Amino acid sequence: MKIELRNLEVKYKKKIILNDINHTLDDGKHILIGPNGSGKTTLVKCILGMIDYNGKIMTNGVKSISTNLIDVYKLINSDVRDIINIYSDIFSVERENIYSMIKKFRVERILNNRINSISTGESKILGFSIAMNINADLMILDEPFEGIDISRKSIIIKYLNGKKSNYLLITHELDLIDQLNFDGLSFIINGRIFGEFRNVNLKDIYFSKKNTGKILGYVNLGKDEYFITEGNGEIPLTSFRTIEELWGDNDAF
Amino acid sequence: MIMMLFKYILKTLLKNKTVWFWGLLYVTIWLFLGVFVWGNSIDRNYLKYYAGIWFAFDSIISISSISVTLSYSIYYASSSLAYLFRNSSMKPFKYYMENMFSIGTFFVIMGTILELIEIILFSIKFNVIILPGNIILTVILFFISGMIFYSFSMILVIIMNNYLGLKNVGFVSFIPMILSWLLSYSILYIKLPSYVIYSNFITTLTYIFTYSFIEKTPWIILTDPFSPHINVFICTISIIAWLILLMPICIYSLSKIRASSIEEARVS
Repeated sequence: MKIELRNLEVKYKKKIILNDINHTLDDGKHILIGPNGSGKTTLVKCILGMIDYNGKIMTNGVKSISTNLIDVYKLINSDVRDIINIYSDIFSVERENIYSMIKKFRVERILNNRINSISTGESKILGFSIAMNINADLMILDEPFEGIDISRKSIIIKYLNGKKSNYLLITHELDLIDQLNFDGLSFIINGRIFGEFRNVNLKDIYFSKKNTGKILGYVNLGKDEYFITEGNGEIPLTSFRTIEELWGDNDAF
Repeated sequence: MIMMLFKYILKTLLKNKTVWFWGLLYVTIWLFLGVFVWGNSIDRNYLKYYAGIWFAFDSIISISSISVTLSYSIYYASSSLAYLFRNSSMKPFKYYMENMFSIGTFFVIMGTILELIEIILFSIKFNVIILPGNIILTVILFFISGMIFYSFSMILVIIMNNYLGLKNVGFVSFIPMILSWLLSYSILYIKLPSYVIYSNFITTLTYIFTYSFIEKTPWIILTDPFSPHINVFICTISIIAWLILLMPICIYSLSKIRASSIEEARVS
């Protein structure tokens, strides 16, 4: 499997959402870290073919992509049980497997609720449960931990670590990533992707204003540029709970 | 997966209170006025004709009112459709056909109830049971009308969604209903030019609905017995042509559908 993004650009009312992205996704487990408003969901929608863009997305060996984006599962405004039945039929998936996953998350109560009335966390669990069961070449998870309590987050991590196929997980929450097995790590900031850094240990990644340690790359936060270093640096990535903290008046710098 | 979506779409429609309100209750109020208020002065020799006109007028208004709600359903599903057409075995043709059968079936159910209500109201007022002359034709017409109106709404909403921005989706979804009121009401009292009458599906469907009820060729001005008769054959050809024309445009539009943000529409 290979997905190549070439000069990818998305604008909305003159505002640049994705800015000249060149990135390659191949077999494996990928993590993309980005703050809110950095263009994460727009990137997902581009890869899924849901919105127009400039540039090219070349896919090789990718027939279908599954996702946890809840909008994708709003074919009709019906109850969650119907939605699961419809999508399991469309993707030829055993619906009982999806129900069983919903039960493991202990959110069976949503089955009789309308899809529009469930909470953000519940919709993330629903999207995740369907996406995990679709036999796709790639699974894209957009903020899978959003609105979910810690015990259910652990269940998601357990499922992901047990999954053998390819996925791209996009999140702004850093405190959970070190529990995940992954092959590549990259950052999306202000509509641009930095990375990917392969086979890195999250605990060894640092952000530094000065050129210290082994430089993997850099991120441009608009007003400041930071080196991403391995092994040595000013602030360890794992000291942030969310990527947004990098923008704060960080005394450490 | 054959006709898999059919039952779910039909079930959703049957449970949709907005659809029942605008499709049945709203037009029943008009029918009530037609029978009990404006019906007082009607010549009993023209009673079946009068019932036929009301049946046609109410059916068109009902179907066009529901098409407003259906327009929103396309817009609501845009993200899902954009995703499914590219990542699953669900393709625009299959989706279109399953939708059409669900909606056509729903209109047959609702139309049958509307017919029953009309029969009951007329029998209460005039102590006579007036049945539609050709029930099979009325059933076919409800099915076809649903397909045509829905296809028309679908094309308008997809154009708005993809190319002209979300601000106008609300207005555009009302276009079929506005046109229905204008055209169906006009032919009650005005002789429209032939090219207008035969070139649009609203007037032709109104005439054919009337024809199916009274089993006689309707007058061009529906309430004027001295006006010439309509050409039923040309009306039928026009309806079939619309059905054939809208289908490929709809399937093509669906294949181009892009995800719209529901949040964006809320702020538009």
